[in-house]
Amino acid sequence: MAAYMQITGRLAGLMAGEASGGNDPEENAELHRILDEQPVADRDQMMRVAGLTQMAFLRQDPAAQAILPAAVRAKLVRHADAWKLAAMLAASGIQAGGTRSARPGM
Amino acid sequence: MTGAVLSLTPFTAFNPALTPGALPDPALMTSQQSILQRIANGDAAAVQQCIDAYGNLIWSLARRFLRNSADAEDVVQEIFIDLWNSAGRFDATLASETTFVSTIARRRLIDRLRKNTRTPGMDSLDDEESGALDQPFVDPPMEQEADAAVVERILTDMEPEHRQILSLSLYEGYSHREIAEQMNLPLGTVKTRIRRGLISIRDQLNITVDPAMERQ
Repeated sequence: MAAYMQITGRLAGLMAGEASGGNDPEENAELHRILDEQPVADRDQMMRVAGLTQMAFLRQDPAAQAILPAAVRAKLVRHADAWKLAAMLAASGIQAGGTRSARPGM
Repeated sequence: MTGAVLSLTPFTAFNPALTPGALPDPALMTSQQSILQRIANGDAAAVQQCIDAYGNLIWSLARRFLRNSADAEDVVQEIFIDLWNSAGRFDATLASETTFVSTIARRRLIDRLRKNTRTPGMDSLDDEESGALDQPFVDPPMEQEADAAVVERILTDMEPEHRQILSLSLYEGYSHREIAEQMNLPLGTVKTRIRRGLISIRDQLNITVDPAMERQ
């Protein structure tokens, strides 16, 4: 288990609001302004806690635990193949259109 | 079903050493590495293994949160592409791989919900189509996730109303306004309880990690 940096006060509240999808546009703007002024090391901590909580609810809900349908899996495998090819092309400096990238490795 | 948009750039997470015809550096391919670390190091086989390891978990989270098979199908594709692109950002000192996966999934699910106008619970899922099972299914990555087990215990000890608010928001994808209406509570109260609930869970996770923090 990893420890969580103790972010407190307004920033913690805004990060928790973001992680629950509950911030209004003004709150999101305030969050980004605070983070621009005072960057924090563990920016994703509340999203991580929310993700863990979501997973904990799923653990308690066997009826919701499902196997990925074969058709969706097949689409993912096709995406994976395309992603790997694009990654290899990018790594070798060749763009998808066949021209060489000005930024090899990107 | 619109299909996920396949991002072709920038693949900064993928190791440039993986060029056509070249194998990844064997020194990087240790069995100690997680799937995401292997993807970041250019192990092509790990990309598909990522689907095998986390497909059921992500699918289950998405269909419960969005309550719509077509949306779930789209977002699962977006989540995996995001995972592959983000593999290089995985830091095992901050979280387990399963937690990292659930964090990426959560961001995408919130984005998807924000774009949608659907009302949760309005669309029923066809069990056969959605992969739901008659028998309880245990997903290995989720079952082995120690932090999720701790959070499960924290939720069990929580006041039922607070727990229900967190479930509706974080697990079932209801907006704060919808929760306020459903539970006949002021919107501000719902917001506050969700925020305090998340902060409290974080703090209790820290206590579990380091008992000394409890005394501070």
